[in-house]
Amino acid sequence: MTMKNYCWALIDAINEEMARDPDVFLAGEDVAAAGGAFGGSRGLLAAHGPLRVRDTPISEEVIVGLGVGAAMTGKRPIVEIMFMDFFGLCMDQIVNQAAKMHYLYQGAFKMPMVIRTMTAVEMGIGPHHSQSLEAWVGHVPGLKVVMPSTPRDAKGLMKSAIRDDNPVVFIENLALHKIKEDIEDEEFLIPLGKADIKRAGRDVTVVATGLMVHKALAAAEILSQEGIEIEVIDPRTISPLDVDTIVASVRKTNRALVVTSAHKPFGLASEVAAQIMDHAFYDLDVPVARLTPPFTPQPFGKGFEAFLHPDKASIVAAVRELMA
Amino acid sequence: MSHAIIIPKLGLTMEEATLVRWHIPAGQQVAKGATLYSIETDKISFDVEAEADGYVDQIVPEGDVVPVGALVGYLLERPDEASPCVSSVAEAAKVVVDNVPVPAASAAPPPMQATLGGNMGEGARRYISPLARRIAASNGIDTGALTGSGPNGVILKRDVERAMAARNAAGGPIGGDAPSSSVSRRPMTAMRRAISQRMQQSLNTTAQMTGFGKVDMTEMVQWRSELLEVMPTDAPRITYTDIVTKACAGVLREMPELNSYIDGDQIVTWNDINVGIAVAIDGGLLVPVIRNADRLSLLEIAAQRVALIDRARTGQITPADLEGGTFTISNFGSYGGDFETPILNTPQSALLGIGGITDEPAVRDKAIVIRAMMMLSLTYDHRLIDGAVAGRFRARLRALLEHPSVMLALLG
Repeated sequence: MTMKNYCWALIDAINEEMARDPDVFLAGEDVAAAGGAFGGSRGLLAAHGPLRVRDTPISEEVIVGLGVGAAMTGKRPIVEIMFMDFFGLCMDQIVNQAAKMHYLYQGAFKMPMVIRTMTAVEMGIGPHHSQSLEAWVGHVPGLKVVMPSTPRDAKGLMKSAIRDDNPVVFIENLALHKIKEDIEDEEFLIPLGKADIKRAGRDVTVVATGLMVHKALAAAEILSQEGIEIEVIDPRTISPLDVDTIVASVRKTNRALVVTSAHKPFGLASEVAAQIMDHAFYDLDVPVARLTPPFTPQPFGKGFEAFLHPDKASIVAAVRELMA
Repeated sequence: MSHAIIIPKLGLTMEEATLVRWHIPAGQQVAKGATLYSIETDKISFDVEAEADGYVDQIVPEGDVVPVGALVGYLLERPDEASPCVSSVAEAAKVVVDNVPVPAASAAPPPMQATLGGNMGEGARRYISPLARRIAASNGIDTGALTGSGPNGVILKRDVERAMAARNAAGGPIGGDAPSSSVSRRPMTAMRRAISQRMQQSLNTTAQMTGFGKVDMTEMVQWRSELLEVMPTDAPRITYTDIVTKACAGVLREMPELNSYIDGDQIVTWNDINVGIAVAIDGGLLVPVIRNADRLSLLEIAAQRVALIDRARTGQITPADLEGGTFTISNFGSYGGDFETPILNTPQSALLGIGGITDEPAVRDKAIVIRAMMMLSLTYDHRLIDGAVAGRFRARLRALLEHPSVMLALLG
């Protein structure tokens, strides 16, 4: 076992897959010479050379477009869009090209591409870098969407994403880059589409993603002292969503809370709530609750952002209300 | 490619079913068309066939009550496949198509309609969680008697569990002081629950009255035995139930007041005359319906009765066979009864019980003679049907049953 942080776990994953498969390459803004805008590709240029680790111009549409073309011709590109907020510049390539090729050509083309991107939610860097826009891509059939919350999940899921023949949007969380975890030295994969029960409990199912997983786990400690045991489920992959694990938990607890950094309207929290209604309505003792930031743009300033977003205290309060 | 297993809707009024049994164990392979699981509704048991080949993935365990359309499992292409995860665009599209439940071909809309409701005043609405409602229903807890402890008085699981604990502590509904070792408990079957609810609801919502009348069946007995002698052996054997059904249908055509019911402050009259026949089966009672009995010959009535009773006793009955009755006949003579006070099959307003035919002394022309006598027990909803009307119905029935030639002439 080796202690790794989230950022280095991801570098390890990409490094291992590039060494394993010569078709894997990495392209994006500042990924080569600079080792990544936030250090997320350090050492890869030296290890795999300039042909396979390439800096690109500042043109998001071109970055994803080159990935689509390369994937159609048999390569396994990892293309990086520095912040998910910039998806607006390359949505046509992601939604109309990458997600549709396999379908339009009746499976003649595969699309083994990873779109590596990031949210910097709650890092105090304003409305253009801090959005949680996973619903944009989770809404599109043909895309898989991954958003890990721990270093080990990040590594195992990145390796599976690279090996997957479908386009995978891989959403990192900058706020989690420095958290550390012991990771086994042997190779391992974590399958896409499989949720993880981060903490088992009997009273309330709390489904949380990204940063909110850690806040839910902190809330669980406080609630446990009151005799309330919450079960914290991290879907890890939001598309396809592991409805089975969530529903099985709700069947046990009869209560559910969904906590996300993304807004309520049309978001993951709403989708999870709807799935619970579809599959476990007669197991619900109280309505499913959603806890999210209010429907406003992301502000500058960490204090204001912290004020708007769910935290340990608001999760505790929401769970207590479900138990009332 | 997985195929969703969804509880079918078998009749217009079906809302939920108990998944009684999985015939194929989880993980085992099943072929399309094989019996996959059995469900029990409040009236029937039904075997559901696999709609595709595959490996069985069971989501809902045996014994669970599930709503119509509920996903209870998957038929998976491979035994190790994860059920709901869709791994490619093409599969996603196929799952969407395959998940669309196929509605059961519904028969002619039944004239019967629910008569519940209408008696809940404003503000009387009680909120209960879906889970609490389900637990209460499957344990026979009357939620109307519960006090909700949730926000705004919502009845939650804990309230139902508290009521169950209290009931158990009190030794159940019969007698508070019986030692627990002297009773045995078992859950009601869906059929018993339905019968119990319907009987109680019938007595709670109507004003029932039963009138009796004796019929001299001597001529009819004679007529029938002559008829049976000349009937081909493969023809359905005409019974007194068939004869009474035929007579009732004819009189109901003359007297539609008995083919009616009260709905709120309106009187609804059915245009069709559909006669239900109460049939005792193992563990309960079914009332299959002979439709448009007034337009059928005696032989056609007998043929339909034979087929319906056969289906009822072999578990092959369908919801369509049971829906739509407007009048019911119960032959308790067949188990030795002479007269009873049967309970209405609501929303119907009249039910005729037939007693056994026995030789009795009777006075004819100032002399005591032996006649074959039968007692009719007519229960009716006294809110709608006056005693004189019920008496006229019995008298008309008697006129037909006592004189086969008259019945033949009038009803064909």
